[in-house]
Amino acid sequence: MRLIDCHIENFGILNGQDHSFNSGLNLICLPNGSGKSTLAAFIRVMLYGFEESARDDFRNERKRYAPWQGGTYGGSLRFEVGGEVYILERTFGATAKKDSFSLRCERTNLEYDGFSPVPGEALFGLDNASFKRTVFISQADCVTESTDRINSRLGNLTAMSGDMDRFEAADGALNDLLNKLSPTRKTGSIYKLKDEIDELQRKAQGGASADAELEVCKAALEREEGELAELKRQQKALQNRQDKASGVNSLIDQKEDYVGIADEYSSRQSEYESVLGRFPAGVPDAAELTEAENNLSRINELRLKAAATEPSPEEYAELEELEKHRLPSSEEIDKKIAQWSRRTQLLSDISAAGPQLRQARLLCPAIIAVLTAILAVIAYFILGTSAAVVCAATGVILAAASLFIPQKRQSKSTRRDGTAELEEIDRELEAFFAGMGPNTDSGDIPDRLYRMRAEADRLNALAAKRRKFEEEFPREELSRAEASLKAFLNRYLPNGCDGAGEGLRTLRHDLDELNVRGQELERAHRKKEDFEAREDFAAIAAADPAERIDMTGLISELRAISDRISDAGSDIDARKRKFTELCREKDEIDSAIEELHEKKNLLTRETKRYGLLKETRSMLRQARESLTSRYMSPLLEGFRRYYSLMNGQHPEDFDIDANISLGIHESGQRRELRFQSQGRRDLAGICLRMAMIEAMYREEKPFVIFDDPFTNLDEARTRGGLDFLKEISDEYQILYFTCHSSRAK
Amino acid sequence: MKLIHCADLHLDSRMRFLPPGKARERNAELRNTFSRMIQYAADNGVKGIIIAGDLFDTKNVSQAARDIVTSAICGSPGIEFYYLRGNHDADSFLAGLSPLPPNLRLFGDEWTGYELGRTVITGAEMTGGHGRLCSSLRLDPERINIVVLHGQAVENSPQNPEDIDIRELRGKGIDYLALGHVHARREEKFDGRGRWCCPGCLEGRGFDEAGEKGFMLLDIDETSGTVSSEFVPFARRRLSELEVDITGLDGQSAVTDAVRSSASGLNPDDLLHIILTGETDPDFELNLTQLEKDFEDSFYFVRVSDRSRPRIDYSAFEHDLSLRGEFVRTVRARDNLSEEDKAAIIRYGFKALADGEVIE
Repeated sequence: MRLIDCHIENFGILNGQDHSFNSGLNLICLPNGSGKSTLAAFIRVMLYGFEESARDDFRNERKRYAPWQGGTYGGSLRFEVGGEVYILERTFGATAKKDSFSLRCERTNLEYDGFSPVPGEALFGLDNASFKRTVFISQADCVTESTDRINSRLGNLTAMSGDMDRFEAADGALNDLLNKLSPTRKTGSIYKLKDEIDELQRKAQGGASADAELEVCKAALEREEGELAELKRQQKALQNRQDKASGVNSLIDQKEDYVGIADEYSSRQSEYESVLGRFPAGVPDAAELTEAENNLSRINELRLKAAATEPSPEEYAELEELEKHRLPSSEEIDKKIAQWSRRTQLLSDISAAGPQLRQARLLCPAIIAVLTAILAVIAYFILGTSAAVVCAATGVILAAASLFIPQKRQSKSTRRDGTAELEEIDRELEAFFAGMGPNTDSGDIPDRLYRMRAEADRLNALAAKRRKFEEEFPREELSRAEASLKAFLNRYLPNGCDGAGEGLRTLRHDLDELNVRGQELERAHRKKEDFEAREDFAAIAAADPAERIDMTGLISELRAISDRISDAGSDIDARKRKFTELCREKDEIDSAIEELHEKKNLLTRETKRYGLLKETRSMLRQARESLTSRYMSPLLEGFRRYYSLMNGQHPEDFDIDANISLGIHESGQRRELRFQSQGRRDLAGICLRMAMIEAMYREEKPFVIFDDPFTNLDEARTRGGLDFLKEISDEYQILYFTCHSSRAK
Repeated sequence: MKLIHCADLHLDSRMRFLPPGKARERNAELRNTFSRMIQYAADNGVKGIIIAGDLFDTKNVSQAARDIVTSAICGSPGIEFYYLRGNHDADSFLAGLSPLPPNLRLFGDEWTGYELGRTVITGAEMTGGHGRLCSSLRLDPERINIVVLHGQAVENSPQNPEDIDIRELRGKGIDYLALGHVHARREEKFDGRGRWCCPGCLEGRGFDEAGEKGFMLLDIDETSGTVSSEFVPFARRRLSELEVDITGLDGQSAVTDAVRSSASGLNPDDLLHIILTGETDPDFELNLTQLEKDFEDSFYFVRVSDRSRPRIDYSAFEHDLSLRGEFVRTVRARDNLSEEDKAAIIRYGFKALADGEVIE
């Protein structure tokens, strides 16, 4: 590959510049600040674009190379590859989006996409970083080291497999995982797992002592339960003794009970016989006595009834006296009373007939006159004066006529009829009283009539009462009841009594008492019989109260042993709680042992995995070293050749490892290049870069940019460097930038 | 007469492999399965239940487990419970029972026998290890003898405290040796008369306890003296391991399809451990988390393990000039690595080279 020329429109300090390059050594010697490094950077950026990652303005190339005057910047680069010339044009904006890119084949003038998207990578087979470590040699960065892409390029393997460049990621991933798992780092999971296992082991170690403690507790519990059982056995024995003593005492108690029952029976028998003695003529049965009581009750009832309905002796005497008077009937007397009243009325009417006629003669015309006057007034207002006058005149005439004719005739008739009736009444009254003793004055007649009427009523009432009594009273029933009662009393109370009621009450009382006593006697008898029928009656009968056992001592012993049992029970409860607690602790230990087992298994698995991963990493590195070692020899050979060219002596003390890392053997030890002087480092770095370029590009040789890389070299080595450039420019296009003429000659 | 022989219920198990919520739920299911077994016994005229150890998983029994067991025993007075404590059991459960239910029969360090008709149930807890326990066993050969122990049947000198040298029990007149401790069901004849049986656990609690779980139902003919037994599957859920060969599959979705096809027909209530096997391309990358997510709604719980190996065709890399080729040749040349390790290293290396990261 060869650069032909370039045009810089705007790029950092550069503006409107054109540069042409020949195919050999191109020396660009310019003073400081004239844009040498910028030009070198322009060529790189044209091929790879900007490195956008850095944030500070200096490291951020887009900002660093933006034209000071602002605006769009960029340029074009013409280069030749495989006999074909291409024109690469780029403009750069504030961001990558505003960039433009164009690659054309000069022969066809058509867009060419064979080197897209990053022409540098396609042309060199290197990324930007690898480019900067090889073909782009700057004064501040001569020392180089390998990258995946360089390794891949060195092995010429890129075309076959791209996996060499994945080594670093794979190695990093394995490292990360190994660190995560690490058994030695505190953050490593295996380290933590071991810690957990140690902790669990510590817990689990308590297992034996927990077992022992559990056994001790269990033994103590068994012992205490044994002691409790013994106490209960003793308690049982005491209870047996107590039961036995209680049995003896119980027999004695029962015998005493029996004696009491027998005594009660005798007592009840005496009481019964005593009451029975009150019935010398025999014991009436309850029905008989009840009949007698009913008879007495009926007798009393009838007697009360007779007392209420029969006329009293005074009434009998009064009745007899009244019957002697031969009084007329009440109707006759009432008739005479009515006649007397009529008579009195008649006498009154006859004497009052004169004044009544006068009053009637005046009253009638007056009424007519008033009515006529009213009519006349009404007629006056309705019909006029003439009608009122006619009306008034008619009224006057009618009132005058009413004063005479009718009243006079009626009065005469009334007076004649009353006198005749009066005379008739007097005759009848006289005949009525004629048969009743001496005459009385007419003034006594009403009194006599009313007295007779009262006597007649009294006679009727008394006669009716006597008749009712005689008709309704059951005289025979009373007689029968009295006879029956008398016979009963005579039979059961031969010695008489204070009245039938008292006799019957005495009998009833005695009979009830006899029944009660009889029932009591029956109960006492039955109780005695029941007792005697018991199986243990013989034992009870044989019991001797003198053998009664005093149980005070036994009860005291029992109480004491109960207290001890209670205490032992409490102790056992406490022991059981302790046992439960120990069981819980043992469970925790068992759980820890189980978990320990699981963790140990996990540790085994993880350790195994860790080992395998370490092996993986080791063998992956080994594979990579094995691959790289294939090109190490030619690389070292090239390095030594270039080093001899620049330094004038063969570098036997240098070697190179599989990581393309240079080392120097001094005093029998291998030292890394970084411990050497800057000049020696730069020298070795430049030679290694060239060796790498030589190894990487066996066919199409690239251009190589030297951005003043000899500044740290002494004069002899600088000369050697210039000779070296001349030497390699036969094979490579060299762009050598320097600011000092001493390094340009 | 019917008896149930169960063992290794491990109530209160931690079940660390499950998320906490599901672990709690599974524990509740373990307790419920125990209750259901008691109900089964009541419904089927079972006279006694032999619990051959490890009723509980922890020394400190939770209140919930204590309540469920206590109420099951006290609520079934017609059933005798023969409870022989195992290495996981402690006395904390029994210490909390006072008085002991009359139908709860316990065993001690020495042989203890309980008569049930013509049958005698004899057992001893091996708290001090095997020792001379088996040789000291004396049984009446005229009776039907069921012997209960918690330990693993071996036919050699015991190496562990829970090992039972089955040879020492031959000719002792045992009709049925009811064992616990081993969580997988196994049954074998051990002399001319008897056979030993380990019913396995009642419910699986981890993928090392996969398969059908339940108890043994013994039917004893007291007239003929025969003891017949059958396994009754009873677990609420089954834990299954499903191996899926992914050889030749070239992508996540192909693997998902293969798993789906293999898992079809499995009960959605199951807990499933999908194990990927076979050989895959070293570049083949599988997202196991995604695969678990793909099936998390199809089963009660899913775990995926990748046991597939990268298929390395070394001849294909013999002339490969790439870093991969050199790497494979480097790995292949290492004599001190197993083929399995070499495959793993190559897979790690390829992954690192391909993506710049390594599967954690």
